[in-house]
Amino acid sequence: MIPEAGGGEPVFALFACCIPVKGARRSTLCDLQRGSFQFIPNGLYEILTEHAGKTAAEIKAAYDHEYDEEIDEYLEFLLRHELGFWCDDPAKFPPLDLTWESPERITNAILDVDARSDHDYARILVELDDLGCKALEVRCFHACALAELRAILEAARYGRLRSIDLLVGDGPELTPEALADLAARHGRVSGIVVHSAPEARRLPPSRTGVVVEYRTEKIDSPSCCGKVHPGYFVVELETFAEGQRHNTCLNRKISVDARGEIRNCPSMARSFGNLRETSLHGALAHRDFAALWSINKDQIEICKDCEFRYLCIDCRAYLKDERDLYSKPSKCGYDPYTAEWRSPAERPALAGIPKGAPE
Amino acid sequence: MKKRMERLDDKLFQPLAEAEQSRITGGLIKDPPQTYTAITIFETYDPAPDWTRDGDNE
Repeated sequence: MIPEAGGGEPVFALFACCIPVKGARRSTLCDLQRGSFQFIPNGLYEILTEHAGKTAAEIKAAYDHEYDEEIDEYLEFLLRHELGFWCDDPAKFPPLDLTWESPERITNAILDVDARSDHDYARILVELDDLGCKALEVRCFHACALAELRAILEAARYGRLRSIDLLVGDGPELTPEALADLAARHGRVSGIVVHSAPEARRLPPSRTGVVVEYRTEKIDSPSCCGKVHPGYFVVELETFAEGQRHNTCLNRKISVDARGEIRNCPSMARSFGNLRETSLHGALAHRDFAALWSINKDQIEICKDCEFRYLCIDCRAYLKDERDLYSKPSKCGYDPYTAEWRSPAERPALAGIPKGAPE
Repeated sequence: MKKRMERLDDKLFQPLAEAEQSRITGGLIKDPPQTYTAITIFETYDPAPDWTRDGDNE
């Protein structure tokens, strides 16, 4: 209900966790508490930013009453979706502080494994612990044996990791029951994806909450990574805040590829040493290791005009222009100037959805 | 500068379809319709917590 004009008229304020992001063609209104977003016209973005703190009557007057009906529709929309509220003193509802800080030197890591890998898992996990790492993704490109997964998870059993995501090649031992049992024994496992499976299926979450998914897609190298797709968007405060000044993929990340080379990401060409000769600490101490951490979306061509820029997990390994570290990810088909994906056929297929499948 | 105010029922402002955003978990919140991205980390998930033991009443 939009208040009637009159003395002491309230003004509309967004909830602090609902933050508008302007794109070239349209904007998003990101609800960081619910983990959702709404598309909104850039006109509404303008109202929410340039006319914040004004009454409905003042906003309508600012547009010479040319858009009174649209403005009423906008305000009703915001109320209906619980994105804001009427208040008398908006100064009492300050915006969120989007400063991002983390005490950990490394927050996340990728460990690649193939049939020829000879990683010392215990040593890697201890070093990640020393660095404060919270999340680890283990990507096994080959048909994995349960014993190998157990060896990795046992190495992490008494460490400080909070979550471990497993991407493993299908093998005869990797039955749903065996994987559910593995997750139950290792509470840090947060998700298991089995690739190269004969058929795609997604099992309901087990009692531990871990989702096990089988995919037919063969993932046999790091080149599987870097896709930009709404399914990979992360709508939550920490990522949104981190994205204001940092790269949402590479910031505080360290990776070990299948040969033991330490890199920012396994897909990146530059190695900072091999684990046989260098520790993770040693690689991290290299003056160039953190150079890419601060490339944020506001600095990247095209992405800086995209309404998804603080939800998107960027990629700096596969670029439109390999010579330009500030070019958009090559695996992103979204055009923020038309608000269209390049074509359904080129849109990344996810979760068993074949490319170009009708919607 | 005055901007053209587009109507919200334009196709451009409709929430993404479920197939466009699904990954491991998640889906559309149907009412009200909106785009929803699931958080897939379950740190302390327990579907049947023992509420009788809360630390104060051991």
